[in-house]
Amino acid sequence: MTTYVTILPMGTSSKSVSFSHFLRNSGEILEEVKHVDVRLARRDGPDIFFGTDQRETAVRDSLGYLARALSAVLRDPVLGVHVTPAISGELSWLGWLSEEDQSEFLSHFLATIRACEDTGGYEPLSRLLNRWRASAQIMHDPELASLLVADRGEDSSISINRPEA
Amino acid sequence: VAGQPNTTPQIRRPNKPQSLEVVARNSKIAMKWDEFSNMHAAAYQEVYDKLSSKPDYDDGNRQHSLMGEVGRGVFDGANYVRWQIDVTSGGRIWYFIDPAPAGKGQKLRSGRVIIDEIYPGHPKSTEKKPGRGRGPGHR
Repeated sequence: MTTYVTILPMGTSSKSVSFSHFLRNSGEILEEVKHVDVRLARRDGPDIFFGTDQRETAVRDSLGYLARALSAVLRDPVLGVHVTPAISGELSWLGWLSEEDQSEFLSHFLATIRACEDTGGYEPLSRLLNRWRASAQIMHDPELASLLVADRGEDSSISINRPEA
Repeated sequence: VAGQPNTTPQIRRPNKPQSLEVVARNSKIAMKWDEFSNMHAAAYQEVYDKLSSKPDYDDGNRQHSLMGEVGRGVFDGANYVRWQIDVTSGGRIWYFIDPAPAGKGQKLRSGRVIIDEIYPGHPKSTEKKPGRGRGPGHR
């Protein structure tokens, strides 16, 4: 059985145990959850996060405050000019995009932050960053980028089959 | 209204979701599919199943649309959003989703997925290279 403690950023500690360990020791884990978040690792599905509602609400509220503050700063024509390069500095891959794409990214980023703060769910922001990061990786790799801009020749739509084992 | 027949609006049972047809945009891409799927059959089976059932599913990790310049593509004169799915370590498949229904008289389908390009990734040094038989001294 593997049990280990992961130290997350901002000083938050999180414990990770297997789901089967949790089933066998649920009382013990419930006691620990009062003090620390627990990740239940599963082989046959996504890991499960186990924490108190109080801590989770605090995290969501804090994210909401930060999102609203960032959104307000980015909307400000004077402040936004200074903050945008700072965001580029934090997202190292942003510089791999063309200027037009960087501008498009910031527009999407701001709109998604607003939507997330309205709905209280931040998964769309995570997905957006994943899409843009993957796009930047392609732009940064001449081999990949050349594949996508190369002349494809005549389009013909040819059926393909599922591979056999 | 009095004197008029009582007509009850009919609702139709929704069609069962159909699998999407998976096509290559041209013979070159079809040949790439054959070549790489022979080398990594299990991985390409998984990709085929995902593309034919849920091509527009963004899992936040290995399957998602692209953005910006590389997120736009053209097939047969029409504009599409380009999607990416990771297939092997470093390998990627780019595709378009064409949800348009088939024309009259054709087999009912939900649409088609057009494979735009395939990048196999860089083979690991320990991987067997394709097309090489046994070396000298083997029978």
